[in-house]
Amino acid sequence: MKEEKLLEVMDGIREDYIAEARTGNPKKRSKKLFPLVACMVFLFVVAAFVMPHVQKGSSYKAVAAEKGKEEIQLGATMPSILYYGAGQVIMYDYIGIWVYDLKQEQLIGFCDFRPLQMTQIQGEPCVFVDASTDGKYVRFYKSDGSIKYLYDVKKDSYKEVDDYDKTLSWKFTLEDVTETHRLSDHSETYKIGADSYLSYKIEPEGDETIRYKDLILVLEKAGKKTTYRPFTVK
Amino acid sequence: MEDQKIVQMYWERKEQAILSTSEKYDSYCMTIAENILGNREDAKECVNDALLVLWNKIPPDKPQMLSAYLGKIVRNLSINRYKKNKRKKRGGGQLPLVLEELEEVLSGSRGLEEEWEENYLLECINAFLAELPEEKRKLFVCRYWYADSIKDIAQRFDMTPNHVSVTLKRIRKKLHDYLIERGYEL
Repeated sequence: MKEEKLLEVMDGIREDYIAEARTGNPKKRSKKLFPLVACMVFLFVVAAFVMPHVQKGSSYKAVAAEKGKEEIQLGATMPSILYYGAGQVIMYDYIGIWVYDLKQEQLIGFCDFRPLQMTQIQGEPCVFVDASTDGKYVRFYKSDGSIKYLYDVKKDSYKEVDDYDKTLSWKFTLEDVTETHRLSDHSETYKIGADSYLSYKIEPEGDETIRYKDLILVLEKAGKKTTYRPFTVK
Repeated sequence: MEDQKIVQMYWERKEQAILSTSEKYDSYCMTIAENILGNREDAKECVNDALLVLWNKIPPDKPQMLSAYLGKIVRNLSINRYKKNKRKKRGGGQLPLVLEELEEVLSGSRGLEEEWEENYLLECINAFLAELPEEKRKLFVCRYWYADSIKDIAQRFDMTPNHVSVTLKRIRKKLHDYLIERGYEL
């Protein structure tokens, strides 16, 4: 088979390319995935910037409002959606982790990466972030294994750990269907159930700078769409 | 332990070299072997065999990049094991998908059997990789050298699986065109 021959020939590619592929993790989110995640993450991030240690409740509104004024970078550091379930959406970006409650329509949790020096979601070593399958925890750790943290979503608190509880599963994923359900140029869509989708889109007003307040979450169930503006406080 | 010291131990025929290599690169090797074979037991055997091959090759060899050098051995052994398994109608892993994707690069091509053609093809691939942006080169190598799954690559590079697939498809098309420009009858 020609493809097998090609595979074998590739055995001789330069060793520095082989090593290079394992020595650096650019950690770049695709623009499609990042927008949705970024939006949510940025919402939480905004809150984080303003009030790094805010508690659940009205204080998050202030954080969200302040963060909403900040500019969103439509690039590699855009937020990502980690989890959707039980009416909550968890996102992150290089600034931290945010939890948004769709029923309360407000942020309910934030974990600031900055004081922990865990903001490097690109490069080497980079920070990996995963949500537990049940959405109760988020782990974030350096790719070289040197530092590991566990964020408890319900308690809205984090702690450094030596290792993660092996009973926890980290296999939560959302099916990216952006290609078939694209809402705008800066949007991402995930399938969350039969005929149900969670999307985010970034719709700047006019030619203004794109800010977190322009991030809109769209929950679609059986054709009915509900929108949320995580960084716009009512 | 630094690679140079490990290589030096091989030259001094110290068996500790094998232990040190295993401690440092077992996970790395297992990933390569498991990606190709999709079977942990077979992968473990290949990694153990690779350590023996390494012992026999050093000396006279003196690899500058022990990880890549060892990785090549593991990859080779794993591909051979994969073929063997395939004949036995068992095994799986990422290799069938990787081969399917590579097929389009050389679809319809002829004459790659000759060694000089293989060498020239390798030169072209290395030249092609040299021209690629670093991130795309890493994606390509992760998929077609390490046989990483699309999902793993997406996580490693913080991209969506769809983005990874689309990027790889574009790179394959680019390589296809690159080879045509250099005289391959595709």
